[in-house]
Amino acid sequence: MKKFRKRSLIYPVVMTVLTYLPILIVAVYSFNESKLSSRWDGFSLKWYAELFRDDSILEALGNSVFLGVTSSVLAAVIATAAALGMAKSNLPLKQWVEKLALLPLIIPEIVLGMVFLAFFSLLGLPFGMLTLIIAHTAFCIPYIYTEVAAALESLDYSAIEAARDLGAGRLTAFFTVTLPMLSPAIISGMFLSFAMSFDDVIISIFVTGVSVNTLPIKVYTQIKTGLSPKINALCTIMLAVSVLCLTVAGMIKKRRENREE
Amino acid sequence: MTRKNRRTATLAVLPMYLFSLVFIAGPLVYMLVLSFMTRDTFGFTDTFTLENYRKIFDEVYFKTFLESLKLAAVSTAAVILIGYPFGLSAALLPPKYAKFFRTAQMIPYFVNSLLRLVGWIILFRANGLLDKVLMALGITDEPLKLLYTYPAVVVGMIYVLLPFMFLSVYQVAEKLDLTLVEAARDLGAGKVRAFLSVTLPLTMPGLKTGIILTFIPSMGLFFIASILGGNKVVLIGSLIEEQLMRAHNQPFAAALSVVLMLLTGVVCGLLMKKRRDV
Amino acid sequence: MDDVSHILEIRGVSKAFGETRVIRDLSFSVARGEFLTVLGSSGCGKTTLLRIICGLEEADAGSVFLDGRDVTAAEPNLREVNTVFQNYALFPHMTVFDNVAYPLRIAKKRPPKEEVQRRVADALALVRMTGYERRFPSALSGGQRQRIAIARAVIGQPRVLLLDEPLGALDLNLRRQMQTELKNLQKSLGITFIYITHDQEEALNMSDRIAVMRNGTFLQIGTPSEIYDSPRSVYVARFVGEANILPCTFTKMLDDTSAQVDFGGMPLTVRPGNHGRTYRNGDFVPAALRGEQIKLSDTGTFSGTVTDVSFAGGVLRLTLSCGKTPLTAIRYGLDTSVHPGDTVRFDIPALAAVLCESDADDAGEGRL
Repeated sequence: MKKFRKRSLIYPVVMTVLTYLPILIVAVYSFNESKLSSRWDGFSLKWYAELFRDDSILEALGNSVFLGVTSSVLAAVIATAAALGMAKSNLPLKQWVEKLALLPLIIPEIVLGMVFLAFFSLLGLPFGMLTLIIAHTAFCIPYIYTEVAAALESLDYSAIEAARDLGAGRLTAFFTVTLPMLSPAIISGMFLSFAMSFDDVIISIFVTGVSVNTLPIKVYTQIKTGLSPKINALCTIMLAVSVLCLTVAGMIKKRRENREE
Repeated sequence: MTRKNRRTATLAVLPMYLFSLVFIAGPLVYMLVLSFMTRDTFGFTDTFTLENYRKIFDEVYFKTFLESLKLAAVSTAAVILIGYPFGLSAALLPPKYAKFFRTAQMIPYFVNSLLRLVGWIILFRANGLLDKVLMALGITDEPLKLLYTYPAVVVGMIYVLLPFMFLSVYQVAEKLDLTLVEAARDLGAGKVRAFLSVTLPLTMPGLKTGIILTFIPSMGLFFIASILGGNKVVLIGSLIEEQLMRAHNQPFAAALSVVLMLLTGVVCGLLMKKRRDV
Repeated sequence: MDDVSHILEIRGVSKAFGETRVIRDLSFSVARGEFLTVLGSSGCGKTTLLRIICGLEEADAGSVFLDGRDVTAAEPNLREVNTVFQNYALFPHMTVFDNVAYPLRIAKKRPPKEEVQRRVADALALVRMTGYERRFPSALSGGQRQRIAIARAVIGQPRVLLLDEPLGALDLNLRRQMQTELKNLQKSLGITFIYITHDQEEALNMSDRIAVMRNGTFLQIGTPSEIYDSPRSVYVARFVGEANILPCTFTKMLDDTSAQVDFGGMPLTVRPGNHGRTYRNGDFVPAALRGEQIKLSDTGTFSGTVTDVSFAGGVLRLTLSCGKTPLTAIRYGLDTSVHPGDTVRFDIPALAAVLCESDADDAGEGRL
């Protein structure tokens, strides 16, 4: 290892501080007694209290969580099954369909939103949770598919053969060996998907219709009409939840990695 | 046994197969068809026309196109200049530090970019935090009023897209064999020469992935333009949103989308092609 | 059914991958409690054979009988055959205990918890890995993983244990030690072992019988001494113990167990081998001769020029050139009296060499 100089820490540290500065500002202001961001009137939790009295925000939160969980679970099932079967299946043009499924990764979100809006109105689907779930599942599939496909590539197939050889039937071998060995990839893909779904503004705006709000859409419309300390409080809570989720996911993954080298 | 395997496998692939055909291929094909349709008072009719594509070259729209490209190019360039050294320098630190910086960038990568932008509004607005600090330090005499300006949008873009560049570069740089750099130095290369002839080419795949991940979204992130740029900065993304949600001109929005996709496709294609040569 | 002394019987098994015929109409049987080694270089089809026996590969033709039952079409989990894989194939997400307990836990009749614990403890004791129950495979050395793989494979009391080059990844010392341990293990368990290796030393050391495999067929199957002393073909002679091949001309049969040939113009009494071939006077025929059978002697019948002398592992190897035939003579202990360029005389004792078949299908190794 090359000698390590303290000096080489400067740039990463500065960049990290800049990354977190705006987030910290929001968090600090969410505890500001004053309604104006230009004044500091002392510490207060009143904006949080107000937040939890706002039914529309709580409803949006519920929608976002439901949407994120449903679409990442759907995407996980669809993508994992497909990744497992891709090599042996004999569907026509399957390589092309695989590329098709991965396409949302490289299509600009705005285009995805546009085409979903147009297509759903062509089909006459009612805009709302259903259209949101379809659209979110579509852009979650590639995240899980690529993770699982990569894990399959480095999978030790002899362990599965060993399970079969030691007396496990196809299903038993799948559930006791294959799936556990793939689960870190599936779980991390699902977390990624959930984060992407929970994060999404652009596609959601196009396919949500008028009746269903997600949290990002709520935040977006509120910001456009002017910031309020309530939004600061909401942002702070969402940030805290995200950080918590990531920490937990990171810990799970690290424990697995330690076990499996 | 094999036939049964094959049937199970086919059954497993089927959901994604159908889903992709219906909900990915379907909408994309429809977009293409739609872009050749004629608009009328109640929506559109299926009369073939090239009007939607011609309209893009109308001065007002074409200017937006060029502006959007320019903003994407400026943002991407800035993200490269800031993010590449960030990712590289962090990855080359001892693992303990490197992992810390990676985790530090993973969080903004996953966290709602909209939420992360709220802080900049507080910072940028007239008589906001930044103005106050600068004026207190005597650097400026009057408020800069940065919010709703072009630079504010660029800063927002960089801020949102930086983690993508960082992580792409980091992932490749982490695996960089430092002995190669040492070998280059040993063979007489100066620091700059060693960087240009060894480090840069070896981390190029990460840089290219980073560019793709930065450039593609940068033309569509209309909400950044909207909340940090007011109505002064209009992107292709904003244009599509406007045509779709307010003007209700689906055929024109489709034509804009087709062109945007072709544009990003070309950029990706160029970068990928060069990658294969390496 | 037909012969209950055979635990495993392979009848006319063939297997091809695309155009490549990996197993060619192979038939053999393995006795109960036998230690059979399948010896061959990489690509000879030995691993495919093993996978057909344990059911991970399906034969194109032929059948596999296990204890008189036709298991040709049976799934691998329904065969009482377990395998120790080349890379051990331990489950990375399970502890040592869970790995070893796996066959018991997934069994149709799952034994009670106490029994599982007892049997795992027994299996670990058998491979001397008691105390490692809670470790993960990643925290074990290669030799330890090996032992766990064996414990996991024997805990379900299979009728046949298949071992696919299990010592390949270990260093030389450990390999020697494990050879002895495996042999002892096999004796104490009384399970039939089918052991696959490319290492002839391992094969000679451990096996009751050795099958030398090449291009998907067995060239010869027999006890280690049969293989070593009476190789049937030039390939077997060279592959097992690097025999010298003497180009001879057949003269006559002396009786059932001896024949006279001409080597370098001198008459030589050899064993005709037991491959049932008959020769005519003047036939060209190769004879295999072990290096240690070449006796240097000042009054010897044959003479050759020393081209190289090497001493390694207590063995002195003299490379001689005898006419156009290169010969390697082996002597035990260091002898400094012989130098390259010297001409030495030597004897080949009667019945030391054995007539063998040249391998028709290959131009390189079998050529004289």
